[in-house]
Amino acid sequence: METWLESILILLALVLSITSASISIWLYISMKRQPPASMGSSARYKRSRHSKRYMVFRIYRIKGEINFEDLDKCFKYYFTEQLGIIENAEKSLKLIRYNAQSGVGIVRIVSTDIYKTVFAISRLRKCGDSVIIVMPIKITGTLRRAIKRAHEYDDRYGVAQRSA
Amino acid sequence: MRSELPYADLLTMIEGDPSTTASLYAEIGYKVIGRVDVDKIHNIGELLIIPRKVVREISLFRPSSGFLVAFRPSAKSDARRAGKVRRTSTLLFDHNNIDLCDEEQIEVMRRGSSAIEIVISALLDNKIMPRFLSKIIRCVRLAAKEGIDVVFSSGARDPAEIWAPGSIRILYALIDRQFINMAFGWVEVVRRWRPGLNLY
Repeated sequence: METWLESILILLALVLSITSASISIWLYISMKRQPPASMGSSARYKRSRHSKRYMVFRIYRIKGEINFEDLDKCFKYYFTEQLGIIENAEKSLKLIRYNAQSGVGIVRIVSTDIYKTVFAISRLRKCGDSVIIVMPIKITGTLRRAIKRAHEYDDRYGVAQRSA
Repeated sequence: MRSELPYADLLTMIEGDPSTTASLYAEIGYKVIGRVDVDKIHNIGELLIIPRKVVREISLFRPSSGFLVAFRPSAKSDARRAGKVRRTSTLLFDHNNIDLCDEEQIEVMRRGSSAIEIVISALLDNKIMPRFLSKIIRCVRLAAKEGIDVVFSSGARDPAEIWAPGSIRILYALIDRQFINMAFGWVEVVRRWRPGLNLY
């Protein structure tokens, strides 16, 4: 075969291979970007993300006293009752700290909708024999900041609260 | 959830010693409350008490500067009439009449000076809550779109029915994250009703 014909054929093969490679890369990238057909039907589809927050709260006791275990149980019960999530209650809502004297505590919330969870907890009024009002104080992103804020409120409400 | 701005529960109906109720509200973090059993503005400690009047008959509805009058409509025609009033008052909605808070009502109120006051004590009732909450969300969104003030009041008859200020903010945030500061919407209502009143 002629040398010039040989070089043309090599060049053509090179161009073809580069083109096919780039087409396959482009196809791969575009398919990766597009959602699956079932999700693609909704242009507004957005995967909800779980976020973790720490809520500093204070319990105002109207009647009776409440301890850590009872409060944890009540929070979880209310959470499952309100949001209908039974399996993840242990993981989604965890009472981290509760000072029975000042009534200040910290609860960890892992949820797609933090406000819904806090609202559900806010509705809690009866826990066992106690009548309480849950007062959300601050929602923080880190436990350290939540503890710092809880300490401030511990100092403020450290004296045993009178019942109404 | 605490801020420099004060929180208010503009309608509370807890009976008994006013100073006990006042200390309870002050303890929870409120600076202003509205009571139906007082006839003038006064202070108990650091808590400001605003006189309120709840009217159920349109014929008796007369907004005044002495009382912050709340009209609780039970018919659409009454709600529309009250919504047009130029003097400051509130239209009271609860779980029984929240259906009256619709697009037409908001359109009427856009030209008036009334604010929407929603009594949220029924949100503590598990049976009423889901439907009532969805109606509240609809009403608040419509009102916010047209710039009408919305106030959440507890309407508490018992200390257990009081909502903490933080919970009220969470309720606004639940409706829309941008509405979180609507918890201070009451300031505008009270200032319109009684200009010059020291609220801080």
